[in-house]
Amino acid sequence: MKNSLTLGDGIVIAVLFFATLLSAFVLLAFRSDAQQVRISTEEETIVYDLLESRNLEIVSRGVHLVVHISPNGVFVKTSDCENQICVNSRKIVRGGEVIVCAPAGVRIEMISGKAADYVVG
Amino acid sequence: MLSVKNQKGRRVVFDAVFLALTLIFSYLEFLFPVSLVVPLPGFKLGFANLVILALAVRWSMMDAVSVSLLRVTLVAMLFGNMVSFWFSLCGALLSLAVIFWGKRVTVFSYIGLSVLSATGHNIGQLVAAVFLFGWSIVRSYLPVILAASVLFGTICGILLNFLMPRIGKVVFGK
Repeated sequence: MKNSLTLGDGIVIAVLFFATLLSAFVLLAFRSDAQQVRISTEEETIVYDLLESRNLEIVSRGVHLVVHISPNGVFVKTSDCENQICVNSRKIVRGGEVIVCAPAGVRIEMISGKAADYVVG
Repeated sequence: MLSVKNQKGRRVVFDAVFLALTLIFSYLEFLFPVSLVVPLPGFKLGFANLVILALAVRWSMMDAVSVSLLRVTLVAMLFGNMVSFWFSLCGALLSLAVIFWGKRVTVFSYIGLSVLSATGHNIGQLVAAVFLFGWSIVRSYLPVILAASVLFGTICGILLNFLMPRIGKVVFGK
């Protein structure tokens, strides 16, 4: 095993770097303003509009989350999951952005659409 | 010359020491996550994977697989849950496959192999997340995952490039 940077290393890093730029471009280029948020748990999926601010309490797989919804975006306010990744994730604002709480099995996704509250599944 | 029985015993002890080392690193990463310094929740430096990589390159791929799978199981039991076990398992399996391929290609230093291993690990975890949460998360998480793989993989690779010539022969005996 070589102990200094090789051409192969450079190629790998360059390819991954450009893949990063490409995927970031795709993410940024196809973002849209979100008007609703879809919150999915194991039992149900509910879509909420973003017209007014509110806190939602969600219990899934024994994990209790509080999700804050507002016209300015959505974030997880508190969670009693162990790793707190969902709480430390930044606020989601645009369509397609997602926050996931894996221990709770909860997915929070911003979507573009008409304002309505309804149960999907 | 050690007898076959003593060689097997030596190998078990050797793997146990490396398993303990990966658990120590995993615990330190759990106590001091990267998100304390850089706003990347859920990401780790990957020092535990650094140990697996060193083991795979300088000792044996089979031992690296054993230690890696045991580490995933024990870390989930000690600090995680079934979901984290599933994520770690998918990441570890893809990472090991990438290391196996990278070793055979022989055009990489520890840096390239570490970057590939980190990427494989993170992509494996993303695949696990897709099974649980659907394809929509790929677009959101892929850029961050790729960037973190390059960054942390390079850091670990530079560390290995520095350490292995100095301690490799003492630790691995070859």
